Amino acid sequence: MQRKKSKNWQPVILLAPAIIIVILIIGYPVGRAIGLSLFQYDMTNLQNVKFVGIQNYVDLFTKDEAFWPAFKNTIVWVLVTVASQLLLSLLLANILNKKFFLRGVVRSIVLIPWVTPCVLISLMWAWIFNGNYGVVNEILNRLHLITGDAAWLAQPQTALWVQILAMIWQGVPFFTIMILAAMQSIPAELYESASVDGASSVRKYFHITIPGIASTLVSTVMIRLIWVFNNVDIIYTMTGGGPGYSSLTLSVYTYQQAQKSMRFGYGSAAAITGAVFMTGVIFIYLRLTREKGGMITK
Amino acid sequence: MFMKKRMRKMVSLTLAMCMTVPFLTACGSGKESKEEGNGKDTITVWYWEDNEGSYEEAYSTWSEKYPDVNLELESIPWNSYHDRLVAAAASGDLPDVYKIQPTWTPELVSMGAIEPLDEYIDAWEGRDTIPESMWNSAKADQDQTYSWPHSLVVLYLYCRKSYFEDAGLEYPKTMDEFYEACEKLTKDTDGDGAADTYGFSMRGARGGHFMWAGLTMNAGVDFLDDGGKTALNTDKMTEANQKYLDIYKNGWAPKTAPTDGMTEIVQNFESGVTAMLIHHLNSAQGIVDVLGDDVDVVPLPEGASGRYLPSEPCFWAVSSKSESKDAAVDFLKYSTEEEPHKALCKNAGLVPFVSPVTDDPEFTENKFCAASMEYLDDVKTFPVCDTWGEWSETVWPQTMQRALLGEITSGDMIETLADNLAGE
Amino acid sequence: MKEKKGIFTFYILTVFFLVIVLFPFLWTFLTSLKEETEMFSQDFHFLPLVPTLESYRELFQKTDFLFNMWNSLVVSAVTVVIAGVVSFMGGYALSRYRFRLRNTLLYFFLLLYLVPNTLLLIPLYTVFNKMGILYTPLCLIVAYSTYSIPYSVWLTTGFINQVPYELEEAAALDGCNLSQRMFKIVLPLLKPAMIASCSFIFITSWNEYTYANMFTNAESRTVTVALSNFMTQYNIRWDLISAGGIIVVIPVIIMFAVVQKDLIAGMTAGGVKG
Repeated sequence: MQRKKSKNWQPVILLAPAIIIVILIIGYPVGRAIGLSLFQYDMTNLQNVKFVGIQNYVDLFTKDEAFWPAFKNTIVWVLVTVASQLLLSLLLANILNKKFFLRGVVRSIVLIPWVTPCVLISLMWAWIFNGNYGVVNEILNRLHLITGDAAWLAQPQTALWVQILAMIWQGVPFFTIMILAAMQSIPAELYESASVDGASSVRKYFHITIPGIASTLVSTVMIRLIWVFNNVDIIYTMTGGGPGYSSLTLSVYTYQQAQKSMRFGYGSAAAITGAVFMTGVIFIYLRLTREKGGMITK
Repeated sequence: MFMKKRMRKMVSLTLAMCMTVPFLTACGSGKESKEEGNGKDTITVWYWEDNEGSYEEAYSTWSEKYPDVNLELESIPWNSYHDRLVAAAASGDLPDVYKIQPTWTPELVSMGAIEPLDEYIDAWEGRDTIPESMWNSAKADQDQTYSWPHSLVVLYLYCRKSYFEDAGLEYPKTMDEFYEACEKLTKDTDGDGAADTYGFSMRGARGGHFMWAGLTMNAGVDFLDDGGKTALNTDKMTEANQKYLDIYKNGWAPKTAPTDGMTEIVQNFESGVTAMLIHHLNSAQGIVDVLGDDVDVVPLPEGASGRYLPSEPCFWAVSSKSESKDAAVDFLKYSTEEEPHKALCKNAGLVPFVSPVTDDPEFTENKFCAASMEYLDDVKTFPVCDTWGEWSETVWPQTMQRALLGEITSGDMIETLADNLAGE
Repeated sequence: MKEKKGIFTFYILTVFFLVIVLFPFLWTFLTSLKEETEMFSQDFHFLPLVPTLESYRELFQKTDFLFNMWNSLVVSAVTVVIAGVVSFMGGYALSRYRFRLRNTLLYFFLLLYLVPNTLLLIPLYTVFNKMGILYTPLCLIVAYSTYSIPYSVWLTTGFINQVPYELEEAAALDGCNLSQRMFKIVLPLLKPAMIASCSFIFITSWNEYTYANMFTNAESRTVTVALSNFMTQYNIRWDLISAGGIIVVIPVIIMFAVVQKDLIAGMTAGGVKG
């Protein structure tokens, strides 16, 4: 496809509002966070603010017991959540793209989790998996799958997984709606001519649908990676990262250090570490998907 | 050509809209409180409350007594209170008077946001109406007193009356009796092999250090010694802590205990899942609503060195940037006068500590309030040091949960707690 | 035969998704009808023994919940207009032009998301305070615009990429200028995509909590903050939270029921010949 290669002022003007708004509001705080990460900057002890270089980072990697468990949990949390969301929403989008009775109603209903505030999601899921009055325990008991009550959120083996489940539930609709919208943009003629050529529906799916929605998939997966990584609300409300370190993620850890312990220097260092790691992940991801309709050009 | 012009116009219009709207409205919405109201002084007060409207009602007589000063009460939800206080302090925009928890003092002092009150306190003729223990906890071993006593709740032990009667047990007075009660009150009522009622509502999540301290530190341990050094890491403490951990390990507390917070432990007690609960006056009304007469309260059990009664006081602080400090202090005095203090304690479920109010039959004849006040002079407040915030918010719950799950031993736990408190 | 089996699997899957999606809400709804003593009762009942609408009554009469919903609606709607226009323009530029720094810009937009907003709270508080817009809906609108623009720029870039440039070339030959091409040719074709992107902006703003918690007061409080304020220091009002949780999703569901047809109505009918 041919595009205008020009050095005129049009793209600059068109982009200016977006860039200005974003830099104005986020640029300064981000710069400040990077600077703070090189300082010992505790709100409880502002008389002793001092430049410590990379000491915060060194402490984080070598001395901090919570860091590596949090790092590991972060990887599980992000990978499992995003992968499950992707698979489930491909399936769901396919279902909703077919014509069937009451399709419109079903389409609106499956969007519900997306429009539910995170505070509410964590409370609802904590309530469902409540160890003493929870409906999950009751159902499992009646089905004789377990005896007595299981403390889902208080066991290190299950706590993170319940929260992953809640996060998947929350994220599938957004994925689905993006995929559905992208599916609409695939010209029907492509399918028609493929049918004339006698292609099977599976073949059509992989040769027409997937390439057609590829660029949407690429950007949606990417944004999901970032959001799931950044989510603090769900974990902090449900378990606070516990029990122990078993559901602590880097973002929750940053939140604890900065907002609860008032250690802004150290908290910033943890945040920057997470951001750098995710930048690496995103960079590799975008390189890998460049050929598949990604937006980054060579 | 003229199309290009239109394009440019449109773009710049959008830009202008995005950029200028904030500044335009700035004129309309800034802070006007200081100037308004025919030259009268205005003081703004920030606080959080559990029962909506309780403060406004309690302080409604202000305008009669101080007609020259406007009082602006601003209730800020508990969820955002601390974050907002820190942000406001950082941008130099604090209200004249604000409610604080003692543990926030170090950060406010370090931000230069809080005014020392010693001079005002010494000059106040009503000083003796407030017990010395409250002034001490207001001073909190700092060089100066930065806060003014405001509210108090004291921990005590709720007992489910009928459970104790059924088990033929007396309410526990010592730690041994307490652990015995924990064991005997844990029962499998429907015979499926899993316990249905537990002895104790244990709190392993944030805030659980109150109950933990009340049941372990009575072995004769304190957080800091007289010289301000950490005194936590002793064999006595490790042993007492082990017994506490065993409540969960022996199955005398619900399996959810490691992540149970305040609401969960209260719910578990109310619903009959647990037989004992450590909490304070604030939950009394809710518990009586559910359990009626089937609940009693006793002071926390005694350990080897007597009682350790943790309390949760809150204080008023005056902003160092306030332009009307005298009026602000007038408000502090007013808030601890007999009438407003009594009204607030009644509305908000607090323990009275100002002297004529403490003898008021309305409080002394209420069994929950009486149990709170029984040892008022002995109540303990936690140390105020710059490591405490992190220690209580993050370190304690994480270490406690790991110990409960058996990832670390009782000794490891105490060592970690002591090191973190000392800032190592 | 095969056809029949396919349809069977299809309905099973549909029902499966519906159950999973609805179950938490159904459970919340049933909870909202229960009395508090029954919620925490040892005897488990799926259905409330004594259904009561008391919590809804209290929600509407004693709290400002509807007013908070209105605040959320205003903030979200204005954000949609601002962020929608800005990101359509940005997306068009990134899709149709190749210039130096283009990739850098795309990366830059994304990387901003990686800094947790916890660290932005205090600086933003100071900035908003200096601008004099603290505690007004405006500061949320500004914050949410910045928060949603980066992704919706990405989104619209991707969508515009799929609109064949030949259409615009043909229009340019007929004498259409840039703004006409953008708004008369590209935008109509992008209707479903723009609805998707605006829904994204709307929902992001509607659901946001961290900023709203910090930058609002009683007058400007949004619905997420109102919900979480049912948790006070010593109490969680389960009845109000579950009732509020049901109420809060209703308007958004209705909105989606209205736009979903447009969302799906398809470019296929729109005359895009590839």
